[in-house]
Amino acid sequence: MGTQLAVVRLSSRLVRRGAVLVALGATAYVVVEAFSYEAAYPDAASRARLAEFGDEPAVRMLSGIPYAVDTVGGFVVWDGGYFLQVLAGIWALIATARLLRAEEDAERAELVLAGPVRATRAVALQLGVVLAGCLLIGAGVAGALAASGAQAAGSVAVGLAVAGFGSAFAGVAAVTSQLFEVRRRAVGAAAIALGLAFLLRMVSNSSDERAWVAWSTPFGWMDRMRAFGENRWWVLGLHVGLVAVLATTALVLRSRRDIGTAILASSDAPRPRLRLLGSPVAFAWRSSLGILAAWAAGLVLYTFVLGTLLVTMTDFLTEDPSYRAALELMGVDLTEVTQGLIGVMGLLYGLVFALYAAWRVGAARTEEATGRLEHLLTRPVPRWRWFGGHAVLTLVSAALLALVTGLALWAGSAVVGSDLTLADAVASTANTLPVVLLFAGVAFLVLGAAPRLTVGLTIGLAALTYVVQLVGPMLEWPSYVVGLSPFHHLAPVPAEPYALTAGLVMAGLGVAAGLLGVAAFERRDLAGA
Amino acid sequence: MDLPALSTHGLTKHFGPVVALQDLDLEVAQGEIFGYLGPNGAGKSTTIRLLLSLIRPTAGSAEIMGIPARDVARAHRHVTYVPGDVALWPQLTGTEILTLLGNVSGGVDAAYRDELVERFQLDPSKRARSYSKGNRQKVALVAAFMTRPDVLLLDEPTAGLDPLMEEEFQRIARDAAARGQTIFLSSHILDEVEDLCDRVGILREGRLVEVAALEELRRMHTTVFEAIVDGELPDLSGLRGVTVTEPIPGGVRVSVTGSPAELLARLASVPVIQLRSREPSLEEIFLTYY
Repeated sequence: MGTQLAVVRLSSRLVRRGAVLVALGATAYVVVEAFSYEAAYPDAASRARLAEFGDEPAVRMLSGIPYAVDTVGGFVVWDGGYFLQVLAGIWALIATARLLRAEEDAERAELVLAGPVRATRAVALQLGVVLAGCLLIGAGVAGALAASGAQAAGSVAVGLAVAGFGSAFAGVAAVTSQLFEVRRRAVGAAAIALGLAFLLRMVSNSSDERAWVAWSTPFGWMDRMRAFGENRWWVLGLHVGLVAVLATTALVLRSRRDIGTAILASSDAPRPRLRLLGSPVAFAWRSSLGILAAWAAGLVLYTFVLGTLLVTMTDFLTEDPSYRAALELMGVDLTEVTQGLIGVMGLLYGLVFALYAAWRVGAARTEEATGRLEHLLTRPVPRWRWFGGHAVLTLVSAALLALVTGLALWAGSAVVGSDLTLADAVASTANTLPVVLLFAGVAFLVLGAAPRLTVGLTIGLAALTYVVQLVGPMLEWPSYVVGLSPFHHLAPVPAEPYALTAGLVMAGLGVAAGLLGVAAFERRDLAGA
Repeated sequence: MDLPALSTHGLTKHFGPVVALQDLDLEVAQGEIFGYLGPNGAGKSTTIRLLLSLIRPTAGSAEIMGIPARDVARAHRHVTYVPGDVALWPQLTGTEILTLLGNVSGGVDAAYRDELVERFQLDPSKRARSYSKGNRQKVALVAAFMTRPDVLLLDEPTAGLDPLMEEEFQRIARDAAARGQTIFLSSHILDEVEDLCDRVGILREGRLVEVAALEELRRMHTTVFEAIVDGELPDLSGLRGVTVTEPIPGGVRVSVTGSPAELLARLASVPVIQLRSREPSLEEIFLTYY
């Protein structure tokens, strides 16, 4: 009993900080959503128009089927429910793989299992800790909803659904952690499952004939719950059932394998691949190719689907003056509707590419934290060369992502005969690169000055400033606040010409931050994890 | 006189309030095997990491083959390193890692590399993930020796090796030193240092408390005499040089620092059946410093 308590305490210690941060983030997000609802749709008439707009197929595919959007709770669920679920799901799958796979990778799990506790029991306890974290996130969502004036029962239902969604992907990661032998793969496979679940939701929302598909994905369950109206509590049974099935599967798989092994183990002695081992930079490129390909695949899939929706969306926009007015309020010139639309959507790519850059710099940091970097730096490799190599690779990778994303957007739109040109499509994604350069610079500065914060601080800043630009203008925040967000200074290319001065300033700041970073990195001691 | 392989001048490292290394002045000649001794936390790894510029000195400086340690692009052409805890890229095989490290270092003697792999009985076709601590250390040792560097900085390199491999390591190290390569061996395996090293430095709480050849150390230190006596024991305490006396069955064990002349004179007056003396082991010397 004491050992089991110790396992629980150790596990919570390892993941609690992330859980609390995500719960706070989700809470803040709900509050911001609720505020922006009151600001943007103050009266019954505007809320009725919103319901109408939300029922358009294209909007439904992205945001979901509107339900009770004349209430603040219903609006938050419709507009941000998927984001809250993604947030809880990603945290849960990362935390689960951390506890169930990374600890084994690092040969630390052995220390725990040397105590009087069965491996399967330890898995159950660790999974329990993650589920508790999911409940914490759900509680943050429910509390924020209720505090924003939403109906209490609906708030609790939505909170539980967010917790249930997170728990489901904790279950998925618990299974993938048994299947694959390194954390990266366990996380990757679970993330692919999350992406597929999202695609299924888009399919189900695309037309009423396919609505039944919603039952096949946890994303659809929250919509089917009809919170703030019917409040169908029994839908939560689906979450519970899925978590039970996945957890049982994980336990059975765990009982069938030894520590340090995996059900789908790859060969321990593959044919050596000697390409891209010639220099630190070549090796960094080799190490990051797999993840870059995964990001590219996800972005290509998403933007291709988005491209195929362009015609429906522009048709809708041309017919709905109120939404056009709303977009124009956000500073979008809609004389060319398609260009205006993709110009606005382009901001999101900026955030995604910035997150990629943060992850990419985080991978460099991991080399340092594990001590593997010492193999390179004790050979004739000056620190600035290693650092600069990673900087160049990060920027090249981000530019490649922008290129393939633009290509996929164009390809999708070409399939449905949109008037979007290839040049305009690529311009809309490449437009965000100064922001990406800025956040990459920030990431390298943090790597140089406070290495343990590299990923967390950069991602936090990028997400925060993105949200500022998203809601600031709508809530009429003062311009000096909104102006702090780099995203605010991006022109909606191709609807408007590229903002050259702002681009140069942000690129310059990014380069300066990177240079400060390399100077700090040259001066400091290498730091372990 | 040849350039020293390693030299440090007032090398100091503080981690906040903790003094990891204070005013280290040390020279290691080319071709020497230098043993660097001290308990955990005495500053052995700190010294090596400073020499490699992995951490930056609070004060002082260091040179490798006359090149400032800061100038890693030049200094690191002469040096390789085996850390005490070797972390490798888990998804890479031994061959891939040796290829990468060889390319980054340059100047790999491929035949010698294959010989080292053979002598350490390393299976390089395996992914690093499946290597034990000892096997990871072997990869790092092969990588360190395969370029025939002028200086090898080895931080407890044999902690995970079995006794046979430990022997092999000693042979390889002696061969290297015979070719003029310098080995700086941080260790707390005293037998290994005793077998291998020409000179040792002893570190205590960040300060170098002794640097001497092993022979010299032994001379400076206590010799142990055991006398078996027929009859009553003479009083041996109070004699010059005698530090400890303790009874053993039929006689006495006496530790003497410096000349044993007075002890021998006193013993000459009693019927001694047997007199044994032995030099102190490095371990006994080492313990006198703590």
